[in-house]
Amino acid sequence: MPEYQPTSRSARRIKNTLFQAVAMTAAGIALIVLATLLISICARGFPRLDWNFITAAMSSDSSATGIGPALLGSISILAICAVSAIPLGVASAILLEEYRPKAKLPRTLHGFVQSNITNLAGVPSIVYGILGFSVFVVMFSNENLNEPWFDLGQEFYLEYPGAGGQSFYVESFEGAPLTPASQELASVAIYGSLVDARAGGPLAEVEIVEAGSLEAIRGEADARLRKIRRSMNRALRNATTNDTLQVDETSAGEIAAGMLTPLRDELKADYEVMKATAAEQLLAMNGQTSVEQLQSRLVLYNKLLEKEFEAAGLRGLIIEDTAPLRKDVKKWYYMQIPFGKGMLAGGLTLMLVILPVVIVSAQESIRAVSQEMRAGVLALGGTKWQAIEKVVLPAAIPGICTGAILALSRAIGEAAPILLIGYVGLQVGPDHLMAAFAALPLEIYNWTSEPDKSFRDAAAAGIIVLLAVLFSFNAVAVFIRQKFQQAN
Amino acid sequence: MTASITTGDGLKAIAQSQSPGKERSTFLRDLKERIIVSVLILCGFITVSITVLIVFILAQQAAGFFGGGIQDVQGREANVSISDFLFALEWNPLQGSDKEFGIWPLIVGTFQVTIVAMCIAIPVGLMVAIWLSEFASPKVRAVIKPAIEIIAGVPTVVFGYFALTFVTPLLQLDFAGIAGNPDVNKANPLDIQIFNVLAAGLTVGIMCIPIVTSLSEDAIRAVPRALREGSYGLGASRFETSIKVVFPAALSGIVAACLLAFARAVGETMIVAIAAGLNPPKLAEGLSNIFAVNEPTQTMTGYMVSVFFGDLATGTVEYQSVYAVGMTLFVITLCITIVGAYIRKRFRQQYE
Repeated sequence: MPEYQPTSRSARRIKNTLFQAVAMTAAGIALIVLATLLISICARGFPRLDWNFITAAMSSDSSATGIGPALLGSISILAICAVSAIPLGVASAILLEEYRPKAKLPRTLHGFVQSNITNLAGVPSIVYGILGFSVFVVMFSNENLNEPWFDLGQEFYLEYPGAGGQSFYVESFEGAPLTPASQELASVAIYGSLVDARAGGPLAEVEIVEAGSLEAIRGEADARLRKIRRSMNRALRNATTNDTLQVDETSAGEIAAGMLTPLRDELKADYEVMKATAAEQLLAMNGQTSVEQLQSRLVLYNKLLEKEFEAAGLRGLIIEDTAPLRKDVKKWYYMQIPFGKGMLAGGLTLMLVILPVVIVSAQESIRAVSQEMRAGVLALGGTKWQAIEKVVLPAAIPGICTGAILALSRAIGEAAPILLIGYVGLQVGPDHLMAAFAALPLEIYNWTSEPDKSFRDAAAAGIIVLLAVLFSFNAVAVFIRQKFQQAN
Repeated sequence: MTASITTGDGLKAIAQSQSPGKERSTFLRDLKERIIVSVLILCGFITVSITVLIVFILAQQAAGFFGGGIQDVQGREANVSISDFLFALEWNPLQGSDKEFGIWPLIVGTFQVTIVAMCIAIPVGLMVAIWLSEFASPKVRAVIKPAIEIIAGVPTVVFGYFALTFVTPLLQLDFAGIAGNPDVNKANPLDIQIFNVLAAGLTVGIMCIPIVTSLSEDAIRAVPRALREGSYGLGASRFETSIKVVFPAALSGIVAACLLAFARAVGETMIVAIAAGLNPPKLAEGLSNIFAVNEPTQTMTGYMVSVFFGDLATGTVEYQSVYAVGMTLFVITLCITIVGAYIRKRFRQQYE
């Protein structure tokens, strides 16, 4: 039994105050570090941050590099991750919370699953990276990823170079022989452009010309292209005052006529159509500055080009005995097994990382729905699922949403799990499910560990974008929580 | 109708009629119920299979690493035995002709960083937790707690950037370096190198503060009010109540929180990959290297990143070593998590 030792009142009070001061300092230090982090990154990143940085592709020049493809990649894999993790997580949560078995063996199993999920939350994310790589990318096999044993949604074309820089696309099959034009074309459908071909557009009439006249045709086509461009630019320049284009209906007709080459007599009707088209486009451009005109000039040029080619009989010409090129078009849902290093594998790997988080938060919000509400439905003769569907889920949705959004905001910042699957330095964003992707956190890591320190400013600017996305996610989550807390 | 019910005939008629109201197909309803339950069970099954798959794949690939018969990058046969891996003190898989695969340098490297981190995260996190729940007014708490939790939302690659470009120059007292142009004649009293344990550890520690704070605050707030009232009633101050009554009562939750933060620090990847360097401590040259916190180190996760980000061919012994390291990492973090869950469950005080 320790002896009672009176301590002086002031000493106790000092201890109390001292602890409070130290603890407040500790909290203050944590917050100051956070503020320092944000300020130091903003100070370095903001000068680099502009629209060009957000849209540009990565470059080996640190002052021109950007995050465009990486941002698109991050958003795409996040979408895949959300679409897979949320239904799976919520379903697992419902199973664990609402269908608790009573028999001994299932109950043990249930407990095992529950503790499993809790433990999964502590697994380092890089371990999920290994799992994602082994399961999704290579599908347990170490065979060549470039030759999947199953694929779907891929179209094959043979591209024949045509006159005037146009190409013609012929639908084909995998491994079609690359035979010269004249032998193949009789039996296949020819399309004017790849875009039309993919949309199942109209067939263009195709005429095969002899290889001998190729130079002549090219020459004529090129001359016409140059002429159109020259006369168009001249006509537009004459009509421009104070950097804006000023036309009315009569002057538009005159300018259009100035841009076109008078055609042979039998094509007079075509000429009138061309003139009308050009005049219409010119009127649409009225009042635009030269910068604003860029887009509409291109439209005008293409329209004129198309008509001019048609009029000159240049459209639909394929030069005989030219060998085609293979052109594969992957639709957005292109699917192959094994997945390879692509978006789907990346998104599903992120799903593995956040699944435990989604399940645990969904479980908590389902548990928070009072038992009486379920009992009410059952008393009215409803089934268990009706109780879940009509009562439990609507009440738990705000909590589930908040948890899911917070989990997604974690997923978008994760670099470790997708290190093995993602790429850095891609020039374009992903265009189908199996496409290679770059991701923002990976790009930031790459720039930070680059020996050339000038990339660190770009890394800081990338971090600002990442944090902006992340904090807006968190803001939405907080908003949902606040809103529904008030409603209840 | 009403009359017949009162006489009882109508009631009998209703009871005997085949369709008292709109007929409901209980068959279809039951079928739907069954289908939904099967879908839910399928989802649960997928979730469980993730854990099973982690263990299976790591074990399978690690077995490939130890099984022999695989070649290294230079095309030579490489045999690594489990006992070498578990007991040797040298780790040198990537450079030179003499490859060594003893895991201990990586484990020690991991714990160097983790222990520095815990020296920051546990005291700061716990003090903040006690202060928030016992001292701070509700208004202050409503501001400080979310602010601390923002730290948990910051991606670790951002912390890595911060460690390399801010914490390291700060430790070197190189204030020009913070702004982006390193000073050649910096003071650097501790001889801190560009990649070092200290900066990585401190940053991991900062990252772990919100984990300790928010989980232990939950545990502390779960201590019933009556215990505090009793203590105040006996004349104890707030400080005495917090330390002598509330803290012991919440100890299981607090220990579990600290263990979770520990597991997170062990598995932390991007910060150490960026700021800690590529050289695990050379244990074979003397165990005192463990304490060289100013020098570079490499953790298990850092090694995995360096292999993943390089371009080693799959199937080589260097590449396969990642799975053995990953397995070790998984086992260590899983043990910590399980111990944490056990402590929380076993030693939880039940108050009614």
